[in-house]
Amino acid sequence: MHYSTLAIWSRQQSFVHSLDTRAKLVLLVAFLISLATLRTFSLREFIGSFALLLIVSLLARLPVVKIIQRALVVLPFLGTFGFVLWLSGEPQRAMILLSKGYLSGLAVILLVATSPLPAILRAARFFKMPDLLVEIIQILYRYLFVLSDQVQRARIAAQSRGGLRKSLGFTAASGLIAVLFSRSYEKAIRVQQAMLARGRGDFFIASEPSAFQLRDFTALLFGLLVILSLRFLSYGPAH
Amino acid sequence: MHIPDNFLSTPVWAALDIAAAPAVVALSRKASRKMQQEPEASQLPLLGVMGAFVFAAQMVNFPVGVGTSGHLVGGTLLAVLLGPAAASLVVTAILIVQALVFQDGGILALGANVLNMAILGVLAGYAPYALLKNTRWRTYGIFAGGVCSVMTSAVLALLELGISGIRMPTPVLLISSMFFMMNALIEGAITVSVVRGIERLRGEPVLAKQNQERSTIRTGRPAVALGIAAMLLASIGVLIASNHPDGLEHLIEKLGIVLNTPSILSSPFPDYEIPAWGSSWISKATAGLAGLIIIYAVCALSGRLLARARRT
Repeated sequence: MHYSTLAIWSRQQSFVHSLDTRAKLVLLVAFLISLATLRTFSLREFIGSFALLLIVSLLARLPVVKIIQRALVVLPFLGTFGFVLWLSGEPQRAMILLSKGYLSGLAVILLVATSPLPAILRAARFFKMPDLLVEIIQILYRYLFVLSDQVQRARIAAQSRGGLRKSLGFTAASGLIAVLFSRSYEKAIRVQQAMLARGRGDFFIASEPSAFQLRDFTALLFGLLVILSLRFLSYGPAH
Repeated sequence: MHIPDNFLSTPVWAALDIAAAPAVVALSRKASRKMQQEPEASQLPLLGVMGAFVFAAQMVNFPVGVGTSGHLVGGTLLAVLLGPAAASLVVTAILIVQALVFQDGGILALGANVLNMAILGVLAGYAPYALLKNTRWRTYGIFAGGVCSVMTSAVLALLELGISGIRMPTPVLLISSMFFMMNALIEGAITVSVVRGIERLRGEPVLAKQNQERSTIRTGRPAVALGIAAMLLASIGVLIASNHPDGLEHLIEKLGIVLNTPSILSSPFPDYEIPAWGSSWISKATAGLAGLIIIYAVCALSGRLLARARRT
């Protein structure tokens, strides 16, 4: 699964990786809001924002070309609506949507490529995301790849029994999902029993985010300053 | 249909984020309280694993025509398996993972996507099932749930994009609507097929015990909701109702047909008004409510008579 690449990148060592995830999350949201609230957006603004994200990916020692390519996954949906706008006689607006959408996708990838998902969830919990939702996401994330692998194995088994057909029949596909459900349900019961055996109702939430250090605070302030500068000095205020 | 960032205008995404956040918090608190009260019956692992299950199930392609395939969306399936509140939480979790990990849907647009798919989409998917689950039309309820869930999410997304200024030309809108309707029908068929497969495998209605417990609490709620909606429509709806004649009356007027048929009975509420009160809102609303009560009484009486006839 392509996320495994992002997971590997998120475990690397760099200055950006070592920053507190709460600071990175605030900076991501600030960047997204800054981008979304711009009314005028030309090539100059695109280059400014793109350069900022490139600098962050270089500081994080990430493979820049692969990161840029990875962000292209947002294009199919954006392209569809861009095409609709172009058909409606608004080619400039279509280009703006495509550019802004691509930059937003790139920014999100940078966060996920520099922070493991559990760290992002801890930060989200700090910002009052409900504990239950955080725990559901943690269990979902824990078993996502286990169950996805089971689907792949079941598909290969079905194909090896029935030749090299690309897709299963309708009933066979339903049966496959039913088997998957049954296994998932049994897995959930086992997890529940293990949790009860440990004598606690929580699944993963044990570690609190580490203390917010001076360099995290400095990086947060500097990042906000850069985003605000780009927003108000280079771009000009929103109309 | 996951809306990415920058497609919705700032007032729209901000308003939907503000609306979605307390809804998700309320759902979480309700579920947490229930789990604290019944730790043995805790659904926490089930909710997480079911989220992963839907993710994995979305990888299975169903052949739906020559060279094309569809996949499960899963909102209705989760609502049938877990109940609507838990399903909403699980779909919210799925949307967050999709936005963060797979860049499918925006971060700022998360509120819109949660409302469209996790809350209103799941409720729209659960409502037909809840209405029909204890009848012999249960399967039709699941199918209708799948269709309603996808259509609700798609229509809401298109509406939000429209409010944000992304206007589609009519032909594109028609093609999109047909595409969504096809997807909705496929979702209905896949949901029915998967629920049947699960029941065949496990030899019992899906999570029957839990659903029975829920049904004892929630019996009659849809009927009350429908009743309140009907009363609101009958009393307040007249304010926004069109004053123009209906299609048949318009045709009669256009063709110049004069009806000279003598009337045998005179209606107590001609033109949906109480004649003595004039044509004020009170007159129309009272006539509407009176009509509603009469129709309810007739239906309730006929229902009881039919049920008695069936028993004997």
